[in-house]
Amino acid sequence: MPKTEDDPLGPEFSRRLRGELDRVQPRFSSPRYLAASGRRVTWRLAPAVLGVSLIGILALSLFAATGSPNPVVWSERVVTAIHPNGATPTPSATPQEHRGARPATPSRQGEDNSSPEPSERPEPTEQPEPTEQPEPTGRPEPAESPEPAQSHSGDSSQVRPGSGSSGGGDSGSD
Amino acid sequence: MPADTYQPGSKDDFDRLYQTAYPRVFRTLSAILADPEAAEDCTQDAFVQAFQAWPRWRPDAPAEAWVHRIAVNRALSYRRGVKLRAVGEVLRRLGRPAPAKDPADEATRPDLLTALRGIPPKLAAAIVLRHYHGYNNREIAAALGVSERTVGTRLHQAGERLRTVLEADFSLGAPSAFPSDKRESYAED
Repeated sequence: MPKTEDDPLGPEFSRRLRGELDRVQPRFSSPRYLAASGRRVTWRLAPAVLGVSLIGILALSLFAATGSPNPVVWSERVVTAIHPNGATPTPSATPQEHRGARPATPSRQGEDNSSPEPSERPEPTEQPEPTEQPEPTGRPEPAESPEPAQSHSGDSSQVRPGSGSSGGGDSGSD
Repeated sequence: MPADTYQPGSKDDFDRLYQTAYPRVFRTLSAILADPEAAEDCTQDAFVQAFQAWPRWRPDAPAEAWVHRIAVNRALSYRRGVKLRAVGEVLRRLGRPAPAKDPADEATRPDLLTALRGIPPKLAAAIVLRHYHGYNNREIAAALGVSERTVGTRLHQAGERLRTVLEADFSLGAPSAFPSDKRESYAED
């Protein structure tokens, strides 16, 4: 048997190994990869099936909540639920700031102007009646009071007695 | 090996590869694994893995060597689990008589294959790929996933071990008179 450095076993070993392995015959069996390919396709479709199922559940729950099959209504309902007050200026503002800022917002002022309150506004214009009540002419006290602050209002009455006394003096001297 | 005749991802080409390579891969694993059913299971599992990776196969390596690589790795994994399964089998058969051996099977059992199963499986795979399939060092390196230098080293070590084992029992050219019964005895990996 010639044995080389590259083939230490020699050609006889190859011949005998070939003969013995050729006697080993594989049993007939169906390829398993054909069955595995079906499972592989199923697992490949699993994420898509899961996504469609989630979307369906979400759509059914929205339909039950809004009572409408129209997705536009769903979106409006969602917007309403997220933003119940559309007049909030900034989402970062605290509720205390909202309370203090609400009367100063121009939108609220606009609402006040548009309200029917202007019919009550004329009340202050009709109030001059109380101011007319303390008429100085109707009160005798300011005329009788010797206060100098009221001399302007009682000049005409003081002139008359003065003029009368002077006239009486004249008649008395006569 | 007609490596350039296969298209990656083509099911028809993989069917053709299966028809061509399945018996050869099965015989390779039969030289590594003592149990023919285990060799068949590992071969089938290897083709399942190969089919799943078939779209990613690159034609720069021979398709049969690529399947051989998957199959040998699968056989190595199987042999690592043989010891654990053997313990479970002993416990399961505790108290029962051992199954009767077929005299005809023992008479026709080749001792050369028994000697191959007695050396490390990586060395046995290199021997089968060289002396049965006729692979050169480059193809063996592609099939085993090692360098050509490692292939040369493995072939040399396997030759030395087999020559020691076979010359101790009989000459390489003479048939076996006393076939040994080492059905599940493996060498260390």
